[in-house]
Amino acid sequence: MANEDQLAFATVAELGRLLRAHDVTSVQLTTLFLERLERIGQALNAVVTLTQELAMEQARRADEELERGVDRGPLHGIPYGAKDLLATIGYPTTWGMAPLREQQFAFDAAVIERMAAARAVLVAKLAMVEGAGGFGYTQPNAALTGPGHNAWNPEHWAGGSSSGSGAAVAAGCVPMAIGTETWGSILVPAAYNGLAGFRPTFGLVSRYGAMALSWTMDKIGPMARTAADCEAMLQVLAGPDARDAPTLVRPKLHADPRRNGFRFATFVASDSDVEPEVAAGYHAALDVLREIGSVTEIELPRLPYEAAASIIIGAEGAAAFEEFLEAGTADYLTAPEDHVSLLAALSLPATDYVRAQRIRTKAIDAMHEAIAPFDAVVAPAYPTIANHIAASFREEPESADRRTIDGAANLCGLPGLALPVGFGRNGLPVSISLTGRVDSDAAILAAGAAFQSRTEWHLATPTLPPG
Amino acid sequence: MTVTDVVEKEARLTLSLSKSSRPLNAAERAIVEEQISHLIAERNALRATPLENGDQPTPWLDPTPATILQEVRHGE
Repeated sequence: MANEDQLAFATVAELGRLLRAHDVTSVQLTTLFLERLERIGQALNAVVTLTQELAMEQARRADEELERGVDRGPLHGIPYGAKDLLATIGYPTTWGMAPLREQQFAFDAAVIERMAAARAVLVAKLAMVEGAGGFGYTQPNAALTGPGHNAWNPEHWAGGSSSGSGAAVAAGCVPMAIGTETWGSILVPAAYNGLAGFRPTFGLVSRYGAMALSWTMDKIGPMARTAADCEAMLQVLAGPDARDAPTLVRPKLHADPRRNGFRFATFVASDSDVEPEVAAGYHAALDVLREIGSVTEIELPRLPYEAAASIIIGAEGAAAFEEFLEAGTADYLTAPEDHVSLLAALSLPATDYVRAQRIRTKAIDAMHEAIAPFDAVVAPAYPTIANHIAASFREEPESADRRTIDGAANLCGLPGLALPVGFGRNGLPVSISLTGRVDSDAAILAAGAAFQSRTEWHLATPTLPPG
Repeated sequence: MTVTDVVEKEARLTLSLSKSSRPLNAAERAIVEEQISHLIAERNALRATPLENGDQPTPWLDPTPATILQEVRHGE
């Protein structure tokens, strides 16, 4: 049998092979990951709740079925963690917020149901920025569990808002996790922790049972070591659900068998205003991408994507949490700025919100026209490596999330994949993102898998602090 | 900020503070004020993009490009 480190840092695909060869059982894997979550994950502030009882029950069932020759697919018997905004029967779902530490739901989120049906094993509810960052936090210490430490260097932040999902996978505490993104919350922690993190097309994955921050921008997606593992997870997570209307218009997800012949685009000045190691990683990645496809420079339409996204998230977030704010419950959140910031959006004129949605229609069509000929637009995933755990975001000269394609991509509902492409100072990962047109999810993941078949950055493992 | 923006900011600040469960201290009030300034600046950035009367909001919950929707519906 493989040793602990080999198992802890194995991919979902590798663990699946070991399970089917009877070299390891789901109960053994579950025991291992629960122990690492408790020892390492807790030290990184990546864990809210361990779900031992449910996990062992699910693991025993997965083992029994495999013994009987019943195989539910690539996730069968594999442990995973879920961001703690996904309702889970029998356990708290805190949304990362101290005043909601006892909150429980009598139903499972759709993605928890789908993972259970695939016989994946839920081992933990993972830490997150309170309210998925919708309350206006300006520093990493904005979570019920404290600031999320980066698995590669705990002096630095894990990113947000899916902080625990990023750190736990990177630290070998789970081989895969579910994150959510409204604007950057999957791709940034994936990039900061050197993972593959995937933001699906808006509406591809049901959000039933997930905390709503922005009904027209929230997405749920996989985080794992490889694009191939993300694809295996997405095949389970995606699908229509009458309880979340946008899923009903998305076409069925089909795997893309290509390993080369991709058409990539870069956009003018995509590498300007980024840190030197980020630019170096991006250019090294472009060299590899040219081995599996063409790279063409294009110009992205100039529109106020970030301003529109910001107003939409502000208006919808304020509506989602209006009673919470008016009752003064925000006073018990961890970050002081989160006590009051969102009050500002309670006075946002309806006309501003509608204007933002009208601009959005233009943005969606303009972006589609610009990127439709390509499988993916390549860019640095984030302009900087992970910031210091005690640093205020206000210390940055200009908000870094305004210098990526992320605002435009989230506004337009476009899928995106973060992939590690090297390391920068302080041993911290550097990543690129691949952004595609609506419903090109499979193509992006195939391109990511082809890229990772030629690179080894995703195989690196961090030196972890003693738990 | 224009004079109109300043007047709007004050009005919005009054409305936002009226929604609070308690009086805010000076530092907290400054945070709300800054956020409102930010939202007004963003709205003004949106106004730089001309809109025609017929430009509709994104169909709620379905930001699919019109071209894709046409293909899907045509296919049915």
